[in-house]
Amino acid sequence: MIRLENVSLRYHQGPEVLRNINLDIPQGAFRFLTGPSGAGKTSLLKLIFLAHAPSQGRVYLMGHDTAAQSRKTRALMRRYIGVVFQDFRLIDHLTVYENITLPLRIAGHKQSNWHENAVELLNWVGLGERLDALPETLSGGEQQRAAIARAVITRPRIIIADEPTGNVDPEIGERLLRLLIELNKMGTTIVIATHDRQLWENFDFPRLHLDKGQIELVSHMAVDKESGPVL
Amino acid sequence: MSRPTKITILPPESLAGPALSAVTMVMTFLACLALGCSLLADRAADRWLQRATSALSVQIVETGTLSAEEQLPNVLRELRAAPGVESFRVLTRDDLIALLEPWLGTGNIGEDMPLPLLIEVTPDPDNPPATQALSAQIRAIAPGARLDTHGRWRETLESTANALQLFAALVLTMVTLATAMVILFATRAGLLANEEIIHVLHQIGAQDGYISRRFEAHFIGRTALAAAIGLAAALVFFYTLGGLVAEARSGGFLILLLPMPVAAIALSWQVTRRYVLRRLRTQI
Repeated sequence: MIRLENVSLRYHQGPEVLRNINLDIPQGAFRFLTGPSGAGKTSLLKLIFLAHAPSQGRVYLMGHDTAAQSRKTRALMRRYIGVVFQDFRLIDHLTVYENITLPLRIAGHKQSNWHENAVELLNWVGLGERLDALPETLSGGEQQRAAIARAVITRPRIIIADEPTGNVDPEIGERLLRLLIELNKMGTTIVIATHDRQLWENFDFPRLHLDKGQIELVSHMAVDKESGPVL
Repeated sequence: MSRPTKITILPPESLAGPALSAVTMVMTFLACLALGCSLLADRAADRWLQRATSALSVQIVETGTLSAEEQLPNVLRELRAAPGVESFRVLTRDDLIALLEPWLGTGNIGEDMPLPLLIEVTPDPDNPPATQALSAQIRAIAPGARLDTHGRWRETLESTANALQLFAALVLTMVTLATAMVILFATRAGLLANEEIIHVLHQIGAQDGYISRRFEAHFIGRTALAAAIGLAAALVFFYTLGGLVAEARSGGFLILLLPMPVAAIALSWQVTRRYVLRRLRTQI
């Protein structure tokens, strides 16, 4: 589902942020991505959710070499990737309801087909009473839940989350993780970058550790055997 | 619970507003003015030219051996026989004095002042005479006679009309360029102000065309309103001008100004679309 071959990344003429990364995450996998601040976690995620192109190497998503795709196709590929940003990136002047349904509007789906599901999802993440609220009136936790709802509303094939539980209390954090696990059970590939030790210790999923631009598998032995020497 | 189907993704306050509208309004007004004045001048020149080319005259002066009166019968005979001449009239001395008085002053033309004979010739508008041949024939039978086709006057009028058209085209070009630049800068500012929203839109699968259409819709709306006001101001101007130039009030003339706001909208659309798409293509 996600494959990186000899991928390096540097911003402009700066130093290499990622160095010769090889990574293969099969369909339906669940991975934590850990590492110290500045290790390149967000950069790695950006490569996966097509916000950046690698300086070297190849990124394959859903079986396609992303560099070989047209801009139009890459835009369509992004519709299959749900992203939860560290800073949420909700659009300030849109209500919660408008924010989370934006991916459906962009994909051109009819409102009558998704309205009830959207309300149901918002109820599920505890924002059922805040449909018309603007992001600035939400707490950090509520904003994060709205961001997660926006990422999952299209039932994407891949969900990338950058510190998704950073601003929520443990109970909500666990609840959101359970939502992601449910989606994972339905075949969605999940990659979560996190500093939260409790999170990766409570949930027994493989952990990729990134440090000094290089990646290694540091826990969980249930590595996907069919993928060979992968992380 | 019913929800609005359409949402405004780009906040209007983040995009150029009254300043852009004011500039577009003034530019549309100027463009209408340039076009309108050019059209009025062109039509006036056409009319003058038509009059100038529809009037010929033959002037007869005395030569060393023949007086003007002695040459007159031959010239009249030639004019009667010439194809393309509809009618002609020999101007009386009073007619000539009336023509000269604006230059020489009333009462300054004495009885003894020699005046040439002047024949006003009206050509057949459908089949005008070959002026060069006619001129040569008249010269042959009356050495003191000269056919005047008002060529120099016509040339001056034509070159003035052409200069006016060139000037109007230049003004239109400058107005178009200035408007395009203003819209371009406004679009650029809009892109910068909405960088984060654009990033989010890209990330959730919006294609360049989708994002561009958000900008196009805003700027087309603004331009349409401002251009309509600019056109209305120009219509008021020309209607007022109608007191001096009657044609400026005619429906046939005013309707020719309507393409100006349409052109402004098309310009706004194309400038916005091309610029936004070009900038978006620089992103991954």
